[in-house]
Amino acid sequence: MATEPVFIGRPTDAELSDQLLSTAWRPWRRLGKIGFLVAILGTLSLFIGITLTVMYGIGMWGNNIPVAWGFGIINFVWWVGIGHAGTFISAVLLLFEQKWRTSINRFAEAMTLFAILQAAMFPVLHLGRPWFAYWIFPYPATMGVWPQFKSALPWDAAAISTYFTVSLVFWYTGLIPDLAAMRDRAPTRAKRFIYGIFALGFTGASSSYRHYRVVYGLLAGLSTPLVLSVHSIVSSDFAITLVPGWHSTIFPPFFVAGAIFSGFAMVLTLVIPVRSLFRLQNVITKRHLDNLAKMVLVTSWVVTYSYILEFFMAWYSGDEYEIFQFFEARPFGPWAWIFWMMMICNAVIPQVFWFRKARHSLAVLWFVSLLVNVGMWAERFVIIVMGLQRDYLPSAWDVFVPTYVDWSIFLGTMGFFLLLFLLFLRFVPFVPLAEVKELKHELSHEEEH
Amino acid sequence: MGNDVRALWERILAGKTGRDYWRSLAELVSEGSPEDRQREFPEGADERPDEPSRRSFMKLLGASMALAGVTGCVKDPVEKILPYTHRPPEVTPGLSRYYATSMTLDGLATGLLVASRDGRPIKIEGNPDHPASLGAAGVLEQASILGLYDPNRARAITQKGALASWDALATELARPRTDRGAGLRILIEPTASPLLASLLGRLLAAYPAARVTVHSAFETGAAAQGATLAFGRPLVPQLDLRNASVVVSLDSDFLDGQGMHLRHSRHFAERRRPGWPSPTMNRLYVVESMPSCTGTVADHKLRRRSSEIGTFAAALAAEILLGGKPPSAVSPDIVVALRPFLGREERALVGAIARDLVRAGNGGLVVVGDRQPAHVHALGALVNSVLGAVGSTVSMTDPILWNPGTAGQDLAALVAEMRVGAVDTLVILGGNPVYTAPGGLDFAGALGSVRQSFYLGLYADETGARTTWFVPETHYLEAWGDGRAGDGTASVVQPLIRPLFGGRTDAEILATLLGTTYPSAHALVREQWRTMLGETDFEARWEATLRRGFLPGSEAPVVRADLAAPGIVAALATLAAAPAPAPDRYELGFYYDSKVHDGRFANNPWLQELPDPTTKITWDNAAVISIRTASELGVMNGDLIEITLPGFDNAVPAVTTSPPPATTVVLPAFVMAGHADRAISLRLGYGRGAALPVAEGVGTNVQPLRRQGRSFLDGASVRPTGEKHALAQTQKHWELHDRPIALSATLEAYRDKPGFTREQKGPVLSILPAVDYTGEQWAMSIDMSICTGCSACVVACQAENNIPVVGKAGVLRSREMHWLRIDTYHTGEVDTPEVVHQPMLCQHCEKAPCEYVCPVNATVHSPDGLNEMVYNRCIGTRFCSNNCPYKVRRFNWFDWMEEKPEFNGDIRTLQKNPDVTVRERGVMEKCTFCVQRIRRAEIDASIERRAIRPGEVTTACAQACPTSAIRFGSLAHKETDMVRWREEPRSFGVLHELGTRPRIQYLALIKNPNPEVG
Repeated sequence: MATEPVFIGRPTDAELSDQLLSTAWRPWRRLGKIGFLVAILGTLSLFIGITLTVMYGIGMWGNNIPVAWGFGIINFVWWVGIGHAGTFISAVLLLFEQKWRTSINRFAEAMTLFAILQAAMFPVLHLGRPWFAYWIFPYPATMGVWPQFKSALPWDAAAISTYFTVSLVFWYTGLIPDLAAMRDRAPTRAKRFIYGIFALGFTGASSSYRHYRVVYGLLAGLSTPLVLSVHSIVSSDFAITLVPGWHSTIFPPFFVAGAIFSGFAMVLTLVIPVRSLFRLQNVITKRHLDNLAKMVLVTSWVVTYSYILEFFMAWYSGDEYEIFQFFEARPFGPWAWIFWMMMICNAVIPQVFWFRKARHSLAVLWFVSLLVNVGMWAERFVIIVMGLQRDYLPSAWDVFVPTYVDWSIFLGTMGFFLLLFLLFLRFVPFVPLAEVKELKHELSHEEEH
Repeated sequence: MGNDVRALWERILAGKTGRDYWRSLAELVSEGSPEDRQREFPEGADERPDEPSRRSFMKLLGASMALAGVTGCVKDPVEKILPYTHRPPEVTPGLSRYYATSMTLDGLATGLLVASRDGRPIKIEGNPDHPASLGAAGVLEQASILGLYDPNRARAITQKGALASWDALATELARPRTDRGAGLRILIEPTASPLLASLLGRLLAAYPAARVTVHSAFETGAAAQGATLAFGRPLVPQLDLRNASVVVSLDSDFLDGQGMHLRHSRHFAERRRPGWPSPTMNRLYVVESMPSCTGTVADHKLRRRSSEIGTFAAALAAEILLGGKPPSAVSPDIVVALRPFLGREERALVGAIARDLVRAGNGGLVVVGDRQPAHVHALGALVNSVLGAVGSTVSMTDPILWNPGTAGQDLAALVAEMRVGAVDTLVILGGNPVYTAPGGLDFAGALGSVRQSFYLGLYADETGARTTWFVPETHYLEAWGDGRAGDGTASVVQPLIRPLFGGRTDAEILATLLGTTYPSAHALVREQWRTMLGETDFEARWEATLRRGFLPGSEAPVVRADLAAPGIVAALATLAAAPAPAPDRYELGFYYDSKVHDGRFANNPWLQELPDPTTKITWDNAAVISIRTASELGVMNGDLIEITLPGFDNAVPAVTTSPPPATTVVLPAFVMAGHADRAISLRLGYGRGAALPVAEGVGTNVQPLRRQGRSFLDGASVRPTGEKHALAQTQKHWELHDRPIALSATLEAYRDKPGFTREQKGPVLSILPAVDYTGEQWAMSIDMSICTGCSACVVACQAENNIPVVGKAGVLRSREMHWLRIDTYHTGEVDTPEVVHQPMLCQHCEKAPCEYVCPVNATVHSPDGLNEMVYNRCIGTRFCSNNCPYKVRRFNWFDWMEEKPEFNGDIRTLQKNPDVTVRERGVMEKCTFCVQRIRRAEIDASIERRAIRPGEVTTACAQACPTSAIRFGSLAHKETDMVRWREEPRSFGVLHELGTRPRIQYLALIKNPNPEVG
């Protein structure tokens, strides 16, 4: 069975530049305008939600005692998870010299960056007194007070801020040669000036490329452990506690797998429409989609295995609270349908990717990727809410019911994410031009021999 | 839907599904209807949890502006301050002083100590020397402090709604009457006040034709009437539970609902604690319809409708007198009259109870509730006499409450007179009769036919809106007065503060009626007590009385009581003649609410938010029904049912021309295990009017269903309406799921296997280094055997620690702020479960799970063993709450002062304890073990250069507890009960296996069932 190529056709460098840079020059189209409108409305809803929360307090959310963490932390974990695929694609696959990553890596990195931005809002926003959020960082306070390093949260803050910083630098470094190309081909003086600033004087000389390569490679090396560390630390927000369903040693790998799972699904969700809208079938080929689908399948199995293990361990531990959590509260308690939705979306539906036909059907790919995103959100919900709804003392049991502010913030982050993403598509070459050209040369070279 | 529900209940009752099913049913019952759960977002999920007006869009816009960097310039108003140069000698800034006073409810006084801080009363404690308190204070007493600072209290005298002066009112009142009082009617609440008695006596002497009606929501005279039957004269029983080893309660909530309940609780608990090494305890049988606090403590709880309790009493008496060998002391007439009742109840059961009582001899006791009619009291008296209990567990005294004698008139007669225009002047002293008068009497309508009416009340309430004149009443903390405790002890009421809104006392109004236009309650009380204390050395004795709060030795003398056979026979005849209940109708039982009583405390936010001890409902009343009744009706919790009572059948005066229409009330059902079947229990005091903004719209007024003189009646029909009403409960799950949380055992099992809690205590393995605990180490022991669930501790904590009220919407969202809650679990049989109450508060774990997850060190451990909460440092991640297995941490979801000013703000802030921070929005809070009291004691000790003495510090909850079930102290004080209790075999730590090492140790609940009862 012949595999799909990672690059179709043999355009010249100039043609490639025209194709891939044109997205930034061409006039606004109607679909774009509608997209921006939707994104701006979503962003507005986010900021209304934030304003209400900051003005009146966390009481605007559905959180209560016992469910003191709700949508805020669910969204946080979900968005951080989504970010993982970007880093995985751009750094890990780079180090493993996977050629197919080239044309989607910037795209995935941007997704990472914007997803972390969404995620990073929540740890601050969910605080009762967000204006003191900086107390979580170890800074030399005049009172000599330090954070409490036994808690997972200062580590969380450190992990997220590191991750964001590294991702931003990595993404920007990768952009530099293309920004230079933009500068060189910019149609107006103003654009040339602006892109020129961001290109940081990159000339395309071989010395520039050498430095660029070294930095990019180092950053890739720096990013790779983050793929594992960030969600491991996030998972310790739960794993270090006593809460039934949280207190588990498999959480770090389980969370990392889930993160990559949802991240790949999100890449698929985004790349499929973009590929069609911008007619990039020649650079983002079926091979890319096929590989992404395979990654989804693999990670789905890791996640499914973790689910099975969670149930097994609950039973095997003989701990009545764990047993109740897994065998009564989750499958039959309040919000049980979300548990079943999680199971179906994360463990059952991705199995269609065993079939080549499914991996090659845009519609199937897209819908499955959407369902995986839903399923992973449901997983965060199941872990966070259900564990707290049914913990130790039955007298304290209660249910979590989200409010309109919860929804406006959750949907709002999607709007904000979309807005950032559309801006990225509008102003920046979202397929790494320099790398694609390089890939093309490599491929031509291979053909010649 | 009805049929499905019915089938569901049927399956549970049939036991086909076992306990697991009951469990899941509890889930179903508690978490909304099946439709609710199918709906993705329950009703209200899309609403801002508040009324939209306050959170207006403009405000939002304003905030956006401010966020955009536009800052307004506000000039603070100039507030002059004055130096405190001439400090009154009794005021020490920053220190509380305690004054003795007493609070009167249903005519009986309870002695209190009130803490006053910088001139304002802030906290109420029991008066340890007062016989009705013994140092404890109940829910209502504790919460009455907030009533003082109620901004909705009436502030002005009005005449027909317009402002009026005292002069005008006094002129009107004091005008000498020429009709010998023929048109003068006085309507008062039950009272035992010597001052009021003497003023009323003088008034009746001056106006012999005047009549006095003593009115309360329920009749208070049944016990005295029962004694008239049994002993030939009106007497009231005085219980001495210290002597009682077997107690049978017939519809009596003597541990919570009645006067002297604090004393009864303390004495009951003394015999209740199993102790160690030779555990013995009393035994309690409770026969009742609606589960009460007393019922939850019972060893044997028998579910009977209120109307069946008389028969039970007769069957019990018959079993005692006829079941064994007949005692010679009883007249043969009684024996003959009793014979038909032998076997009217299951003989094995009643026989076992009877034998238990006979074995106990003069340690046996039958207590009959005030709700029961006179003939049941007579039967109770009969049993007590036969047992020889009179003089031991119960003694008889003359009635404590003032009795108008021949000048008395019941409410129905008064209304009849009012309606025909025979009443010229009606003076109503408190009691809000327009609201509390039974339905159908139409007191409000009759009021219109009175030429002029006067009403003295705390609020311009339903009655105040309809009388010609309204006079604001002083709160008891602002007033001079007196009263008598349930045992007759004369007690004084002395003010802690000048009246906040002016106001007059009932004595002053009576004095004005007698012609004094400017009476002084202080002078009146002194005058009265001069006659009681004697002229010699009066000032000194009066001062001593004020300091003590009561006059020692003034209790009513015990009266010899001999059985009078004819009365007993008559009582049995009444019982035998009672009609059988209609099979398709339901019995309605009416009860004082444990929180708002007859509605008089309805405007008190603490009380509205206090979970009912048995149902855990806040901010509502419900129609409480049994599981079987719910099954018959096909209803779940919160389903609205329509209760219809046909036109009246009794005691309505001849002036009523046509039969009044049937009355209908719609209110939510609440299904309660342990309730009697085919009976509906209704709480008074809800559905109040606009003059009480806190209470307005809360619950349903069930008064229209009531009939004069009856606390229960038969013949109601019920229909589910198909609509739902959200009931805000603080606890929705009553099953223990076999978890080691609230352990219990029978006395027998405890004797056989004392170490049954062994696995729930002792050292736990830890990889962490052991901490060396030295010095004072604060800890608490709680004996669940003597916890009645009364919730006095919850209110005490609220008052001491400035705990905000969140309102019904907040409770529905599970955001109540109580630091201390009482968890109640049901075990055993589905429809007559055993109940265990477990006060749950911060466990001050030595290895606290909350501490290590806080990212900013906002919750830390103190060297003296407290789990401390540093509000200033808290950023509100709520991680600590998630990791607290006891879920005792509370979060400030809003700035409650600002969010709910109607409950927490206005002058209510004057009540706040200045030693305790009022918490800001966004911070976590929880029980501190009343750290302010600990630190105060430390300061005192260090000033005096000594160690803290055993018993010097106690927490608010422990101090208030009527049964002393909560003990607090330092582990270093080995000789205290707190430490000794921990050594008892039945002590344990909740969720011990988690290794949290809680500083609170519980003592397992021990029940003492009669082995003879199956």
